[in-house]
Amino acid sequence: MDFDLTRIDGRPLAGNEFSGQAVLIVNVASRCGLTPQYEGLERLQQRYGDAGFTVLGVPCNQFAGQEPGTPEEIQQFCSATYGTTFPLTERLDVNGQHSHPLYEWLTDATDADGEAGEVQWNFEKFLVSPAGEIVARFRPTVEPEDQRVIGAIESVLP
Amino acid sequence: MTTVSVRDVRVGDRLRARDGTELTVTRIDEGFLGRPEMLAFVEDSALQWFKLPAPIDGEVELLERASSGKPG
Repeated sequence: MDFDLTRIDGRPLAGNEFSGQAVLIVNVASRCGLTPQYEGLERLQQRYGDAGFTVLGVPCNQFAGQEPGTPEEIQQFCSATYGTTFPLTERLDVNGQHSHPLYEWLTDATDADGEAGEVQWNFEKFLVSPAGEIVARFRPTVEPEDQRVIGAIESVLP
Repeated sequence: MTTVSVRDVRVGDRLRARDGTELTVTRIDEGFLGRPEMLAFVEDSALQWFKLPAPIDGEVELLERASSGKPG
């Protein structure tokens, strides 16, 4: 992934830091009905983190304003409530004219129904292979530990 | 505060979400995450992209009507 990002604590996060890794990119929010998906995301991180995989959380406030906090509040919420260990970026736009280039790229990918385009809601998931290709897109209601997600991850682990 | 039935919202109406975000509706999506009893108001403009889902039988805060100015 050739994108320059910023970690939620303000430090740079170069896309090439993920070279050779499978990355599950998920737009997250702290006040969403789907927020408990953090638990499954962290379990994926624990299960595959030593096998060339990481979750990358992307806080986004474009969906009913459900990620309104400061970076410190977002980070504290994730680590204290769900014990997350995977990286988070700064808050980004994932849809619209001001969407981050990462998401301009990701949203060209199709889901299981062949649909590309806008992110539908919080916790949409994109799996990027170690070679830097988008290999799967899962809509928000697909749980992180759904067999479709697990299977896709295991099929691309380096 | 003026509220209006979700069914009566039209493109161009200006709404306020519970979090305080204001949006001018540029699109109304039928259904939401596979739930036909919901719809979603979207502002997709140069100013912002924002999505506000709502139950079809609910109400939403209306700030300004598309064609006739201030509500009420």
